[in-house]
Parts: sequence; C-alpha cells; structure tokens
Amino acid sequence: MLLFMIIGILVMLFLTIPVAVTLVFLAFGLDIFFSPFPLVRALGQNMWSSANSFLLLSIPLFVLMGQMIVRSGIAARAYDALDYWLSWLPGGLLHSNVVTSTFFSATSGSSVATAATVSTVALPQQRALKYDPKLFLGTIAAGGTLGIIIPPSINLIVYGFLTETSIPQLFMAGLIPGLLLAGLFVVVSAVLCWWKPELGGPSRPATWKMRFSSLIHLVPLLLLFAVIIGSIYTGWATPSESAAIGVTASMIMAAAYRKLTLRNILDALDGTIKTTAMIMLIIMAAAFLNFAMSAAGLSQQLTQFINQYDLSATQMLLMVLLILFILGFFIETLSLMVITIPILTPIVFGLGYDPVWFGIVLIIFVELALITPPVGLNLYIVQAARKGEPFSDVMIGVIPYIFVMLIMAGLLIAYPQLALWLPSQG
Amino acid sequence: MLTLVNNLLEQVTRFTRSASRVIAWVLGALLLATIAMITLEVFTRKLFGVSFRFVHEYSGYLLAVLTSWGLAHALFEKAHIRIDIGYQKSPDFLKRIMDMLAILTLTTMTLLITYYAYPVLARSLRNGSLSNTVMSTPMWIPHAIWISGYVWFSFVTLLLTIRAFFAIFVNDKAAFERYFCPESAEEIEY
Amino acid sequence: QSASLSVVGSWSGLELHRRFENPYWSETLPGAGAGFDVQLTTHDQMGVPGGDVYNLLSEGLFDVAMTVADYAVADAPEIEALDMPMLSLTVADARRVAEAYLPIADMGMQRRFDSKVLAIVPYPQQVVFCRDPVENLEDLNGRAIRASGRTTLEFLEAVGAKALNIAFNEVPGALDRGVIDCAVTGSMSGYSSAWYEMANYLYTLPAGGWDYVLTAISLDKWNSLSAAQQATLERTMQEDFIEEVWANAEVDTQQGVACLTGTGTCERGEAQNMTLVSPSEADLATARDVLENTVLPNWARRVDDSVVTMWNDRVGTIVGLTASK
Ligand code: NA
Ligand code: NA
Repeated sequence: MLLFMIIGILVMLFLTIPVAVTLVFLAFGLDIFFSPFPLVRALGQNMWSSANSFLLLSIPLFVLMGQMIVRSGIAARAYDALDYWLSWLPGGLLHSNVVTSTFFSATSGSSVATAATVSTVALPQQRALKYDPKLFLGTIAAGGTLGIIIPPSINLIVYGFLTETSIPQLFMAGLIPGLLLAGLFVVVSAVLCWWKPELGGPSRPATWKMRFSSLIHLVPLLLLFAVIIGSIYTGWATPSESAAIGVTASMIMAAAYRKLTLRNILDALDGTIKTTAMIMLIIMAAAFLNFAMSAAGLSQQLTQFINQYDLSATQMLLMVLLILFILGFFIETLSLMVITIPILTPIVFGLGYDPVWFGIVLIIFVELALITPPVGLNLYIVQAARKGEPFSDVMIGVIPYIFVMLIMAGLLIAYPQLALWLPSQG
Repeated sequence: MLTLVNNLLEQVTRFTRSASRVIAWVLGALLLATIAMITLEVFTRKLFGVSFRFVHEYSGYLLAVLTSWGLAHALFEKAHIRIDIGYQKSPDFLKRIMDMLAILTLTTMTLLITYYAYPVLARSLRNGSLSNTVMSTPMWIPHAIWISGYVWFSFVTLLLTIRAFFAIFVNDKAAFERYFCPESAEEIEY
Repeated sequence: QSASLSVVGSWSGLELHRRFENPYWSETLPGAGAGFDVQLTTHDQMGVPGGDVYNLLSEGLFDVAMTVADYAVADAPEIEALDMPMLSLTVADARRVAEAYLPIADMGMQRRFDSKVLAIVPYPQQVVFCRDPVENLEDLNGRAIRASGRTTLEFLEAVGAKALNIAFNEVPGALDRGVIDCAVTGSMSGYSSAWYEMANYLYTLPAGGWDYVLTAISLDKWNSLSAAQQATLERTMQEDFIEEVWANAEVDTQQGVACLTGTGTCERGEAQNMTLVSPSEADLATARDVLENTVLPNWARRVDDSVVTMWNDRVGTIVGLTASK
C-alpha cells in the first residue's frame, strides 16, 4: 500500500496532474484497491466539513491583507527607511533586504508574497547601485521565506488545522526562531561581505536626521503586527478574527495613503479568490486523502513498517527530516506540507516529540523547499522580477542561506526551548 | 467546419471566463462584508458584551461557498498548482498530452465531487436538518449554494475539456497557451 | 459464517473509549465465539467531525458508529430530548431515562440514518468549567460558554449566557485566551483533557445533562447477521458494555469532581485544585424552570406530535414533566 502511494504520487506529479487532483485520485486508489468500504461516498460530506471552517477563513483574509499592503505602497516606504538604517554595514542593502522581509513577514502569512513584495521594491536599487546580483538576490529569496515562520503564517495555520495543534501556540513558537534566523542571515551576509567586499555593494552613509525621520514609514507594518498578534494574545480575538481585524486595519491604511481605489480593491479581491480557491482545494483534497488513509489502515501499516527497523527516536526524526529535505527540492511548499503531514506527523508525535515544536522544525524545511532548485518558488519569484539575466545568480546566491537554515534546524533540535519557551509563557 | 465550431467554442469559453471573474468579484464583496461583520463583532463583544452569533457560523459557510464558486476563476487564471519538472523539458506533443491529462483528470474529479456532494443536500432536505447551534439554520440553504458552485465548476471543466479537444483537432496553439499550459512561476502569487 | 464489523468509536482520548469501547470491540465480542471479526478506529483518528459520523454510517462507510447523540441533532431532532440539562440529576434517574428513550432514539436513527440503536451509555455527568469565580447561576449571565448540543446551548442562552458550539479539542485554547469564559463537559472528560490548566472553578450544575453516547449499527449490516450473531451482539453489548459503563458512571462522576478539585480521594491520577462550587436549591429550581418553560417547548416544536406523545408517555412520567408545543 505504501509503495502504491509513493509510486502513485510520483507518477501523477511527474505527469503534471494538478496537485489537488493527484491527492484525490490517490484516495480513490486506496478506496478501490485497499479499502473494504466505499470511501468515495464520503467525498461530498468530507469536502463540506473541511471547507466549512471558521479557522481556515483566515487564509483568504491573510491573502487579502498582503494584497492591500503592496497596493498601498506601505512596503516600498518601509524598504527606504531600512536602507537608511542598515546600509552602513558591510554588504549595504543586503541587510535592508533581510530586515524588510522580517518586517513584512510580521504582517504577511506567506513567503511567496513576502519575496514578491521585497523584490519589487529592492531590485531597482540593485541595478541602480550596481550590486553583484548573487547575494542580493539570495537575501531576498531567503529573507522572503521568513514570511511563514514569523507569525502570522498561513502554513502554520494549515499545519495546526491538519494536526489539531493550537495555532496561537504555533505562532508564538515561530517568533524567536524566525527572528534568530533573520539575525543569522544578517550576520552571515555581513561576514561574507567583510571577507569579500565585492559580494555586496557600497556602504551608504545616512544622517541620523534621515534615519529618524524615516522611522515613521515602519509604523504601518509594526501597527499591523501589533493589531494582529496583540488581538490574539489579549484574548480579544481568535486567529481568524485577528486576520479580519488586520484586513480592516490594512484597508484603513490604504485609504490613508489614498490607494483604496475601486480598481485596487477589485484586483485585490480577484487575486484573493483565485488563491483561496486553489489553496482550499488542496487542503480539502489532503483532508480526504487523510481520511482515506486512516480508513484503509495505512497509518498502522506505516507504523509497523518503521518499527521493524528499530531506529532510535533521534534517528527516526533525522530520517523524517531527510525525507522532507529531499522532497523539498521537487515539491511546492503547500503540497509538500499536505502530502507529508498526514503520513509523517503520527510517527513523529508517536515518538514523543512536541507537536508545536515539530511544527516549527517542519516550517524550516518548508522554507528550505522554497529556495532549493529545481522547484523553489521563491527563486522563481525573484528571478521573475529581473529581465534577461541568468537564473544561476539566484541559485548560487541562496546557498549560504540554505546552510544557515540547516544550522537553525540543528539548533532547534538541540535546544527545543528556542521554540517552546515563548508559548509556555502565556 | 471544425474551425467554425472552434471559434464558436472560443466565444463561449471567453464568456464563461468573464462570468467566472465577475463571480469572483461578487464572492470578494461577500468576503469584505464578512470581514466588516467579524471586526464589528469583536469590538461589540469586548466593549459592550453584545455578540451576534451568526457571524462565526455563516463565515464558515462563506468559505465553503467561496471555494466551490471560486474554483472556476482559479482554473481560468491557471492558479491550480501543477508540478512541472518533467513538463518543461518535454517535446511539444508530450506537453499537449500532459495538458490533456491535467484537464481530463480535473474534470473527472470535479464531476465526482459534484455527484457525491448531492447526497449531502438531499439528506439535509429530507431530514429538514437544522445547524447544531442556537441559530438552527436550515442546512439545505448553505448546502444548496455550496453545491451549485460545484455544478458551475463541472460545467466549466467540461467546457474546457471540449475546448481542449477542438484546439487539438484544429491545431489552435494560441488557445492552448491561453487555457491549458501551466503558468511559469512568475504568475504564481499567494 | 463469520461477520466482519468495522466500528468507529467515540473520542479516542477519553475513558469511555479507552476503558469500555476498546476492550469490548477488540476482545469481548471477537472472543464471544459468534464469528465476529472487528476493525476498530475512532472518528477523531479518522479526522471526521462528530456531527458527520452517523451520516457516514448511513452512507455505508462503516457498520457501527458510536458518538455523542448531541453531535447528531442537526439531522435528527428525535434524539435531542434524550439529553437535556437538568432532566435527571442522579445516575439512577439518568439510566431510567436512557432505557425509556431507547425506542424513541431507535425510531429517529432508523428514519434519519437507516440504522438501529444498540446502546445508550453516558459520559460522566456534565458540569461547568470556568476561568473566573462563579457562585451561583446568575454569575453565568453575560459569559461566553462552550457547549455541544442545541438543548444545552438554548439552556445557557436562557440564563443569559452567550452559548457557543466549539469543538471539544479546541476548548483548552479558547479558554486559555479568554475567547470563552466557561465550558461544559463531563467531569472526567475535562480531567482527562487537562482543562484544569485553563479553568479554575468547577460549577457542578448539570447544565449539559449526561452527554449520552449512542451506539448504532447500519440496518444493512444488522440484517445480514445470523439470528445467533444478532443475539450474541445484543447480549454481550448489554452485559459487557452497557452494564459496565453505567456501573462506572457514578464512580466516574465522583472521581472526576474529586480529581479536579482535590476534594475526596482521586484514584485516576494526580488531584488538582480547582475550586468546587455546588449549585444551591434556588439555582436548581431556576434551572428546572428554564428546562420546563424554554428548552422543552422549543424541542417539541422541532419534532412530530407522535414523538412528543411518545416522550411524554415514556420519559415525561419518569421525570415529572410534560412536553407541549
Ligand atoms: Na508571517
Ligand atoms: Na525546492
């Protein structure tokens, strides 16, 4: 049954059958070949119950909020402000890229949106100031991945939904590792440029007056973060409600910048509905596959399969992470999560690992998947914002940050408290 | 003759595409209304202890409806993710086969979902099901709106399947580019 | 010939499943010599919401389903009046109500889900877990309270609370962040799920009744069994499942309270120190009033006259109430 699943997934994905369809067809396969019961009859009820969810409503809300932030020009202003503050470091604008990504991550639920936003505001500067493209692009692609580890995060919501883990706890758990990762990105960029200055660009002086007067442009993003995360932890709102409040706040800000035009609203809604329908179809398909797997007894079979190898808990964890790392080269992130979570998390939880902690470790590997070729969405997002320049620039540029992320994963395994301390303070 | 039918199909497909976009805007407007409602509810609940209980319940229905009715727009915008490692390096005729496979399997899945969704509505009608909340909403209403979205999506996928076959017959490359080839990554945004 | 049964149990983490359902289906029935071959899982392990379980049973997805009756009232109002707040205050009364209700529930399950009721057993008595101090019924006024099942929700609304139907496993998070102030569930269920970490006050008003769990078998499956198999199933179910759960209900309700509040000896684990608040006579009288004048008439309006009559004849006479529209 396991072999059937693996071959089925690979063949269908290789034939470029849409991911959601692949998952549903796998469930049909389990139904036809392995289940004594007509699982397909549960399809309608299953699709209704997994879509009728107040929790998952946060997905369209976060997508819409990201659309509003870009269209209101808030992101571009924040980038300029951070340029004044950080460009004196070796590497110059590389640090603005990372820190702008960090700020934007605190209001965005998605890594791709984060990378796309920072690309649009940063790339003109790379050309104007003649930066070597590699590390410059690498910081945007890698910095963008912070979007899903620093709360809020659509991917953590999906993880919480599929594993029944507390989403506010996951959000809290992601904060310190996310900031630490951002800090490591900055340190590594600075060290590399200090060692080989040609990797970065000119350090740009700015007066303290410029710096302080620019701070005002960071306020909208900080305010949004405070509204979203604050409303959850003061007990005012559930995660979905906080997202709704965030959308309201972002629309008020867009109005303040005179960008709340009908055209902008329609475009934002258009993109939101399209993206939501796509993500929801994958989630519903994954939920149905999950149902089919447990009904067909796959979970038990998998546990038996693994138990016969007599691995220690740590070996098992490393094996799971290796699988995630390898799959991450080839599979898009949301698909990676929904395909692996139903199969891998029961094993990991069964070994006694904390679901909140594992959520954060998993997210690091999802971030890695975003920047590992051949299928690394952030690489393409960054590349797409350029014209007629080699793709290899981006691929080489992210390599240092891939190592940083692996180190971060190692730190999380060695010191689980990095993730678990903050949630335990509630 | 074939070309004539192909052109006619193209007209119908374009109209359907525009209709799907307008539907997406309507869904978006509903989403905005829901956002306003949720925000208002949080404030009145915390400040005045007044809560409208229908908000949570109806927001859930909204997401189900938004998904079923929004799928067609997502399809026209090529948002449904296909993993194209093998695809990009394949010769054209293989690409066409993969595109056909993608739309055929999507259509099959959609028809099955619609077919098996119907009993959900049938049951709520037969039992006069009321939601298990203080609101006691008659469940056939959200179920009917939800299922009609899948009926629309079934129509759209069937139409596109026929469109794809005709595009092959008359070798209409442009149509294939428009509706069936997976988008390169630059268009993906979420 | 042998018969295979695929069984979906109630919440896998709670005592009812661990101590009674699991041993019965995994050992007792297969060992009874009538050729039963059982596959057991639970709805939460399958990732199916409780409210879908009987629907899937009627679709032929499995043969036997056990789930909280309150989860299924959306589709079957006939089973709603089994479990009403304040209906029966003692285990003995609760059992008499459950037995008297069996034909009514069976009629509802047959009509709505093409299935037959095999058993009605309780979770421990339902009580109210609160974050903030409670002294009497009036203190619930204005608080956001989680409950499952419409009759409990209506009851809470009638005493001025804001009633929400949040899934059982989402309660700790919601309590922790103050999205809800209180939550209703069985005393032992709350203990097993560590609600005491979020809630400090245990108000023992039976606001949620008993949260009965119905065991139903699809009629197709039932009719395919031999007469001997049907008899064995019914007999072992009665002797080795129903009797044992009821015998345990009294103990569990006491144990739940003892373990949560540290009053009395806790034999199920470590005693906690929630503050125990017992309802006064006045609270009970008010609550009974709400049941009689609000909850019961509301239910009567949702079902056929014949069901109301049946309820009055069988259950009403036990509890001293008459339902009317
Ligand atoms: Na984020
Ligand atoms: Na990758």
